[in-house]
Amino acid sequence: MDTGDRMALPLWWVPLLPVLLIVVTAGVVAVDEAAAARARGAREGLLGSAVVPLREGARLLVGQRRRTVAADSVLWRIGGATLPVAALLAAAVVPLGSRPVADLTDGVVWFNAMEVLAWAAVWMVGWGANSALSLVGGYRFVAQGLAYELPHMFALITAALAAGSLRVTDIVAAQQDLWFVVIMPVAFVAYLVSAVAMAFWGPFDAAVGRDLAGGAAAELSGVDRLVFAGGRWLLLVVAVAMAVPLFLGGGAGPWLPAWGWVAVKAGALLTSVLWLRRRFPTVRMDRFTEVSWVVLVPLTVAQALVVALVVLGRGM
Amino acid sequence: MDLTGWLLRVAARRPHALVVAVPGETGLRLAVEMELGRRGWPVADSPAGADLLVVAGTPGPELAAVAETVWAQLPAPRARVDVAGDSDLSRAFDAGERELADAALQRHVVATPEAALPHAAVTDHRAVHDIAAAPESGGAGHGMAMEPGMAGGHGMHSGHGGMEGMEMPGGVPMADLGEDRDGLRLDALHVALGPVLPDWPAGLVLRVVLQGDVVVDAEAEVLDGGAGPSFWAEPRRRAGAGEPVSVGDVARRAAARHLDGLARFLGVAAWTDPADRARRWRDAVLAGEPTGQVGAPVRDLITRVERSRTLRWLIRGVPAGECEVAGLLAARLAALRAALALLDDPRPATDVDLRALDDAVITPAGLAAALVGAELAAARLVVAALDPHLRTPVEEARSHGHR
Amino acid sequence: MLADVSFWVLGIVAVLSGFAVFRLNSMARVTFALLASFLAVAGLVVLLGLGYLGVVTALMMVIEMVVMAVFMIMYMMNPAGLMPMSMYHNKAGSMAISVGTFAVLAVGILLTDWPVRRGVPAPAQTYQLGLALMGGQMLTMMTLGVTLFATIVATVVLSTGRGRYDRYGDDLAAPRADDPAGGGVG
Repeated sequence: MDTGDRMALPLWWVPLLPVLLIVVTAGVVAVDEAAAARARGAREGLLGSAVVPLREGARLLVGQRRRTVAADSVLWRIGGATLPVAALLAAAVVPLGSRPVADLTDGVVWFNAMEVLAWAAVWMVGWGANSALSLVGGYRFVAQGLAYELPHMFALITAALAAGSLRVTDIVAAQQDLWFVVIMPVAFVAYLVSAVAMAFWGPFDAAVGRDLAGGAAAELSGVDRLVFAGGRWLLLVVAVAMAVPLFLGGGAGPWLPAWGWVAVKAGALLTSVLWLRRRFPTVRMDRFTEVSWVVLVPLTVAQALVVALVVLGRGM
Repeated sequence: MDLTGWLLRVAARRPHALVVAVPGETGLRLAVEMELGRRGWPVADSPAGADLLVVAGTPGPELAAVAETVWAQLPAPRARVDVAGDSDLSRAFDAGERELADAALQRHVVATPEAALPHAAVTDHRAVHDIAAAPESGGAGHGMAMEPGMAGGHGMHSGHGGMEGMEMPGGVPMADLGEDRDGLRLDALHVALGPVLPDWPAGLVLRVVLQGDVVVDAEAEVLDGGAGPSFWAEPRRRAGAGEPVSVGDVARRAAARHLDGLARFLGVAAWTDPADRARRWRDAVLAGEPTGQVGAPVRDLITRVERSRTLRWLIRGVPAGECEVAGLLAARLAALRAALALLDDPRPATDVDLRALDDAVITPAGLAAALVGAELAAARLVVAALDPHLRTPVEEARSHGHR
Repeated sequence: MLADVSFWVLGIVAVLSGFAVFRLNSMARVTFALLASFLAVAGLVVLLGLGYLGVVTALMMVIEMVVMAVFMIMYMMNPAGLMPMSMYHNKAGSMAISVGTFAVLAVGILLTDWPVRRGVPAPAQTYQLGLALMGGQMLTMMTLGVTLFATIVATVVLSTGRGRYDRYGDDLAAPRADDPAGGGVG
């Protein structure tokens, strides 16, 4: 592929990216834990919450791996491992500041292709354990995927359309004067909703719901659970962070360096996503699919039409 | 340096606990939940996600067997805490934590075949109990009558003969076909739900036949012959026995009961924030905190749940037997409000009609009937909305005598 | 050098996982073996310098294979994750046809006298691809798009037994649709 790395970060960023992402994700987990502790009325303190990701990691690292009867171990393990890999590959095109690790010409499509691997991953994990509740969880995610994917694609394409390029850095550059969130608020909201749904994060977490005793993840233990849960967190962080270059002008902003602004904007988005999770009960699939097809898809199509007209008008 | 030992010690400070609740020992379950909350230990959803098994109460033979199965499914490092009415919870949990941090002991757990989640034992316990063909001896050929909530498999409900000589993977029989609600022929899967599921009534086992995730047939049973006298009705019973009990005492217990039911319902709906709050205020109400302290926040909570458009949208039109889930929730909230208003009422309980504080009593058969036709997610909501204290018909008759 | 290694690795993965589709005995594994084959082909397309087409192939194939897995397993007699099953009917014939086709195509590729590239590819390939597809053929593409969409709608309408009169009553006046399983709207 034409990597077209005119804006890409130096090569030594490749090993650094996973480390950076994992550290950031651990921080996000800690913040979420602090919020949960507050709601429970526990006095855990910030330091107590900060060590929670480490404790959880240690717990799962030493944990025994679960085997089940007549499990499809191949798909089960591949599915779990796919999640973090997909999240990392998707992160490669997200500008960490003004430059991404890989500045692909088709960055937006690459990002989407990596994200969609989560479909296969969750279904495989749900299927592999050969447990009814886990399988229902896997199927719920496919239903959810079918519902969110079209609005998600339309949202991505709308941003690319306005910039006239599939390259993420070009999309950022096109927002020099005006952030895309202003001219395409519907696409922005649809993107955030679908990003959260893609990471099956609440309120779209029916696939790993409490009513299914953990759903697709019900039978995972030890390092398998660590990889699955960690991959899900990574996916959430990456998918939400991608909204910054797509709609919020990337690293643009006064005083701070570009990476500072990316961190601030992504942090704000992630905080609101964590907060919204506590505000709403889990959305059931039979409800969400209809809303998605009947409301979200037409809205995002209309949004793309409006933006297309704006682009045409500007071009004249 | 002993890395594993160090990791075990780090992890043991925050184990995830799976609680096996014993029917009729509600008070103990609440105490366990409170202790877990105090320590900040999360509650696990499934055996695979747990390190600590807490058996809250003294189980009868059937539930004890389930507890053994669940224990066998817990991955090492693991510890088991059995608490009874007179145990010192704090000390029991400390012991569990020490056990989890004990590297030598945990290595022994992994090394000992029968303790270590052996494949054969899992096969045994995951056998699917079959309703239609009653194959206690057929199919997978295991005598295990129940499986914990998360185990699953494909059950077959007829035609074992036709499959003779065919190799069944893992000894699990194949699913059979059945007519589904859209006129297609789909696999019918026999699954036992419970008794160890998050926010699930103690000791309840639902044997359901699933097509996709639609419940096409259900049968309910409470292990060990059903619940004992209800913890929630205790002041009422004392009043019936002639002891001096005030309306306030009855109302306090009723308020806690409805807060508990609300917490469990919101837990299944995965609305964590208000669920956590409901649990907190339930404990406060039970601890006897003055009305001035608990009244306002609980009323706020009720308003918040009532006003939530999302929740209303999610539970709209989910039938639960003769009524709907939304109706059951509204009834629970109304009863909670009524109970709150009476918290300080000093009148003797026998003088006042307190039926408005009660919640629905349902028989296992009634519960099973309410679930047929529901999707799994809806069925879970129905069970949680009813949050039944299941009684056998005999008990039912007896309890009416006390009214 | 790197391109050569990638080509051979991807090529071998594509062929082997394609072959595994007929060798594996589980419906789910077969589906994902096919997906692996498609992903390897997508990688080869990327190697050809057609980044957009390669990535889009990967994107579409993941979605398609997951949907296909769901449908295959739903409609098959046995959920084949548990029950081993054979993927072919007429084993000898299908083997002869598929191996024969592969051999013919491979020989054809090797024997063809491929032209040598003149000039360099255009800088904005995706844009060029769009122009090639849409530029002169806009009317065709529009017709195609509308036809496909109409086909989808028509199929759904024909396959559902219930229409709006069943849902909203004879005068379409019901405030809420009467559905066997309620959805999130109306």
